[in-house]
Amino acid sequence: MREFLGQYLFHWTPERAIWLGGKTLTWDARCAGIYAGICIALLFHLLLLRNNAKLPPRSVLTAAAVLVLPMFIDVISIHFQVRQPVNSLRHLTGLLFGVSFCSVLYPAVRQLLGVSYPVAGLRIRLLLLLAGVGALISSLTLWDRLFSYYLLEFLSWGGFVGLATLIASGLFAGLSKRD
Amino acid sequence: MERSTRQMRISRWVIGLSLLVWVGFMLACATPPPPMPPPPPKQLPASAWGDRYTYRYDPPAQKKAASIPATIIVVNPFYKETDSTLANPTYSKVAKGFSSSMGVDTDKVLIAKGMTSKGPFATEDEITYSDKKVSDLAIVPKVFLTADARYITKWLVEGNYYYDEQTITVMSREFEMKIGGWVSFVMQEPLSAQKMWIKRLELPETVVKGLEYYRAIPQYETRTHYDPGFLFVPPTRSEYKVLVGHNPGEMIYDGKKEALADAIKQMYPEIMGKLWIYVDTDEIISLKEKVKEIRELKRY
Repeated sequence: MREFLGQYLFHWTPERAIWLGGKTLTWDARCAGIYAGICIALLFHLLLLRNNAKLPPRSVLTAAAVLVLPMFIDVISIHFQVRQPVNSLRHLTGLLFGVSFCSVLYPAVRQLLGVSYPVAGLRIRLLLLLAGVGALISSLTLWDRLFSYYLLEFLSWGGFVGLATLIASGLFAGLSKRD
Repeated sequence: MERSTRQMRISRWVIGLSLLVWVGFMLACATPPPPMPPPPPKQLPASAWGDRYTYRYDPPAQKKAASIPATIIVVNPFYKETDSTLANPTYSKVAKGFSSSMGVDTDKVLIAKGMTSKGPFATEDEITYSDKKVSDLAIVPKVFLTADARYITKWLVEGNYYYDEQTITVMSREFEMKIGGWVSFVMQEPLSAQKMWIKRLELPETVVKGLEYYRAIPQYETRTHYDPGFLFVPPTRSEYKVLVGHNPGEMIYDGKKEALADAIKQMYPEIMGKLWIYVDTDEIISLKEKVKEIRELKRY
């Protein structure tokens, strides 16, 4: 069971792990980044755009697609052995992906849940600000302190639980409601 | 209303796709990456000099052989001055090569000026009495070089290198070496060693760069991985040895010798070019009279 979880849920291997203050994050570097990005975007939406049920405009979707690209470039270049993997880069590109992913997913779930208020949706500037904050937090992977460990670990667990909740709520609302 | 229905449909798609992406990532990430074969070991830089540090100067003009009635003894430059970089055993091969090349080329300069030369002799002590007696003058140069090296890059792990029939990890550091100094040409009467003229040439500062290679000693740290467990699986701690960096070990390639040899190569044409100017045949002939005078006074 432990091996199964380690392989399929946490993806943790010593060479893909981030070590901070003598401890290691539960997930591998990229997944820890993705969940941290999701957590940051989720907290941002819950605090500032809680009732936003408006799907993002095309400009935001384009920016989100651009933010997703670095992770794919990182994955492909490592897969084809163009360059050596760097765990902090894995974390950063994963985090940008997580921010973009959640910024599209949250309004979709919110819309299916039905309670919508006329609020301004996510703007491109806000998304970029969010990505910038995320990148700053991701740079903690280079600061080998317990503080970095606890913050990044909290964010990855928060993102994991948040994503599971969002998808479960979305599926429940989507399946139970009719058009 | 229709717009709302469309938005709802898109939202459902978004959630469905998100679930697929999530599951997809879980599975993709669970697949271990293909093992990366280590790159083939590289070779340490080979010396362009091949342990033979020789320099060459070709005189710009050629007079008829022995057209000037003067015989001059050539002695290789003395380079073991205290505090001179060339006195350092690390650079002994460079220094020897430089000194003997200068001896050979001084010989060439004198012959090209139409004079007769004897030598080159490694030191003054090697000149026999009979050689001294038949020669009018002796040219005895001295070389003094200073080399100040400073490191201009941080340690860099270069990867695997083939060294001493094994593959080792290597670290490097780049340095910059400022080389200066002087060369003095002393023309003297061979028997009494009385100095007739001294010409001193200050060498312009030359900057060269190079690399030093060291054996890299990996540094490991033991780190604990805490596995939180799940449901009925208890949490565990496992220890891993993690590579945290490298420390430099023994030096396996010193680029300073090559750098000094390269710097001398840059200076060499200027040194010999000046000697070509300093050796004036009219002056040598006039010195011959003084040599006679010295020999009479000293009763040789």
